[in-house]
Amino acid sequence: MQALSNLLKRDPRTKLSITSTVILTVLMALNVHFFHLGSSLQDKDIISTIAGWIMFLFLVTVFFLLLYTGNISKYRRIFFVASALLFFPAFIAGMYETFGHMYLTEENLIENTASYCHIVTPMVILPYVFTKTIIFPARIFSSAASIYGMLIIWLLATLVSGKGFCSWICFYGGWDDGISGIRKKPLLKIDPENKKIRYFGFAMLAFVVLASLITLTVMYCEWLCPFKLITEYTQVINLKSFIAFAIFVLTFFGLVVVLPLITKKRFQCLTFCPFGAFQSLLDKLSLYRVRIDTEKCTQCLRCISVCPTLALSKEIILGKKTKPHITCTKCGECFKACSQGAIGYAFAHFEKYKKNPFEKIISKLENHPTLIKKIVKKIVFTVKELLSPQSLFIFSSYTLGMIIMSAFARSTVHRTINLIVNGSFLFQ
Amino acid sequence: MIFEALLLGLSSGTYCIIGCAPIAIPVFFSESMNRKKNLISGLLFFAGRLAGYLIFGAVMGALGAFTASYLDPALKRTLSNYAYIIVGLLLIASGLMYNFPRLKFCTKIKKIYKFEAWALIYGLLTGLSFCPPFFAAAARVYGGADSINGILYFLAFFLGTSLYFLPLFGIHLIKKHAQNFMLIARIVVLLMGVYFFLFLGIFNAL
Repeated sequence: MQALSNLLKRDPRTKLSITSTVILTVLMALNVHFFHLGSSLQDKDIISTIAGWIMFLFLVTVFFLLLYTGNISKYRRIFFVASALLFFPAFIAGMYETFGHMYLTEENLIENTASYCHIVTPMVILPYVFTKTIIFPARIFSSAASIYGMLIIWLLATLVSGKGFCSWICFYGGWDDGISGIRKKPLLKIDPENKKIRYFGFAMLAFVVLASLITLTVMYCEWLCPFKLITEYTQVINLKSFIAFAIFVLTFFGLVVVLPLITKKRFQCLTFCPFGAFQSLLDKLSLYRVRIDTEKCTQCLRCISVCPTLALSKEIILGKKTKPHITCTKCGECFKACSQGAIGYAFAHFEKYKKNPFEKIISKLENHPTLIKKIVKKIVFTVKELLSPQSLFIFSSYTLGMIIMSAFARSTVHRTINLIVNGSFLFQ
Repeated sequence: MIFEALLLGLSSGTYCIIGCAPIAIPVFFSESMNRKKNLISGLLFFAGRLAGYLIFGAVMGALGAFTASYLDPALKRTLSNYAYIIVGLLLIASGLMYNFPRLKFCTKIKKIYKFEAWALIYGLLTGLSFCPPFFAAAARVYGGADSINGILYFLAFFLGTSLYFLPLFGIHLIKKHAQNFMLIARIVVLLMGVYFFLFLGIFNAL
């Protein structure tokens, strides 16, 4: 009972009314039905249908709880970590079914059969500009993980969520986000004012872009990517490939497991992921931002210590600035830490229009009979909530994350049930 | 022939950027610049590149067809590996000096470090970075078997490619976030140094 009450405990600063929550959850359920359940209902395989229903119920329930309780950081993390954990089993199984092993051979690379990974996006742009070739060995069209398909999703996600990609959509980020949330207090404190750590990711971005340009290869994938360990690892055939494999092991355990665990900071995403830094630079294109209300802020500095990407510092809070640093991933950790509710989502481009049209309508209702006034007030309040930057940002980012998940999540659940029932994780 | 060299430089200058930008960009951004310093360093970088081209042009022209037999892919790779190792070591040295100024080793580097002089050396090394257009120019010159001809050919080639490096002279104009750019560039210098030295140099030689 205590657990259930904890689960449903509402945060008055960020919760939505039950009416708005239900409306948005129904809309989300339609989306989830289309992407996760639709095809499995037509499937004659009962296990596939069950897997579809499990994903449907999971995604809709988490979304409902996220809005209803207003505990954005907690339920976002559940959704985000689930995405990361469900990705790699389906990916590895797919590798075994397609190639018979978990690595890519020279022939596979020549045939351009790798799955396009969004992390390489900043590395392929300049070589394409200069040489008119895409240096990543994936198909342009004709598969879910084709260059074309992934770039469309990335473009949409950038316009909507911007840097929020790193806390809502990326199927790798859930690893260090989840691990950084395990401990209550950090064993090793990282100074939030440390600029070298905050901007190291941008150095990595510049470095891998320039290095990819000089060699016309995706050097990050060849030498550095921590997630090679849980996706398509390098086959150790000589000293060079052994060194690459050793680097993958070190970066995965060092940056994705150990450092996030002891510091409570998202080290891989903050300091090592070139795509994360790239998204920071492109965040200006997105529709939503995190904003600090300097009038409400009491400068208690609690938000600074909880930010997992060093996006808040004394310079921001004591300097009464309204924007966090560009490493902010819109994860919502600081919302929870702020007792004044001074931090929240805001529209990026309508800040000039301070006058709220809804307040105007409500003030005009003063002379109307009480019942009409109550009904109209309720409707206006609900519309205001539904069109608030918080509702719109969460709805659109969750939708995009859910669409990405549809490429692998049901497959992993399906395979797991298949493993339990039929003893095989692979379909072939 | 000179006009051809100019056209070759202009048409293949984007390839030169591919070879040179990864060194030039972080190195230039890592120094705090004013207009005068930017101009001098940029000119010295250009002078270094020109010197590299002219030396190579003269040698290729003088040796003529003799060198053709030595320009096999294995030799090209070996030469590139050595160039990468040298560039890598220099970048590591400057990267360490920028990022860890209190280390004893770094205080020693600082004594001999003068950005303008290093810009000249980086220019020279990027001039000899053995990119495909560079070899195309070399192939034309050793056919001529004449030093003067080789020097003139590489001079025109240098002028053609230089157009793409002009933005280097505008680094001092970046005022907004200049401190952050510098901090990032200094880390990139170190990372590039390690990459050139280990990954492109040593590992390729293995």
